[in-house]
Amino acid sequence: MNLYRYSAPAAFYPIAGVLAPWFALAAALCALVGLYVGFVVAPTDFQQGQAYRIIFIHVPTAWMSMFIWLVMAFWSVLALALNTRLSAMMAQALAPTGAWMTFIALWTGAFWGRPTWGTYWAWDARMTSELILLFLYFGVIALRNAIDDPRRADRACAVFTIVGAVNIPIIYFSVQWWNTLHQGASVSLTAAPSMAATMLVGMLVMALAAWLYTIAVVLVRVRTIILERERGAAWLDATLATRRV
Amino acid sequence: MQFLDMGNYGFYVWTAYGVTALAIAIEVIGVRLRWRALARAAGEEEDAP
Repeated sequence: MNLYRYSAPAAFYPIAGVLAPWFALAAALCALVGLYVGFVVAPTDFQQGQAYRIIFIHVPTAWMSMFIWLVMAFWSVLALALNTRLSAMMAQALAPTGAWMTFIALWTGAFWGRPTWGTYWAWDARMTSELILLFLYFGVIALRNAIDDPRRADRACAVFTIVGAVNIPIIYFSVQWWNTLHQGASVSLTAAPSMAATMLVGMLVMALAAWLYTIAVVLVRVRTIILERERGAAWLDATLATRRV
Repeated sequence: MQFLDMGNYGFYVWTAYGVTALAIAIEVIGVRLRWRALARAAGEEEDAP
């Protein structure tokens, strides 16, 4: 099977429509399992009490907020290097979900911080760089809307996204580089996690749910972008005529 | 009731989860409505002579 075939919007449009509901279903199931583990199985934290249960959405969405920008940067490199339409459409489709993930991470962080640290917000290195990420998402969305020609917008947004990726390691390492309010990571690839096993399982299942959710929403959004941009193309008329996809 | 109370942290926990649920609902409904409107518009164009 030639996978490159699916780099054409004409081939990708129907397959995205077939895949999206399955990713959405898997995301919902993972979220249910994750919330069950997080609220029923996992014990109360000995320091934070029940307030820590906010981390089951805070940490997965914060991870996704950073990861989505890196995926956008990956598609942007492909879009610039290979001049492929679908790569730029993927980057475009990811941006709103990245912005939502960043917003949720900031919001849940504030409502975790208030009972735990005593403040909703501080100009701490981690929080400030994450807020800048939210502005970068707004920036890339606004930049696209400001340019009428979609192909020029693709290139401008690709450059913006690649340059903006410099903020991701700053967010990630901010807790090590600057000793401000936000604590270091409780989960890392190099050390044993500093939390109860059931808490970790709940968080990882929720992280999986966030991944699957992002894929589902982005597949549907990329279909709307294809409909917008390929309007009037012969293949699109043929696809819409032959079946309801 | 004890579950909703969250050891006196109910306000913080449920505000965090509530706004998250709202954000997801807005995004999912928004993207679906947009796709449906565009698919319908594309279909009508095609039906036109």
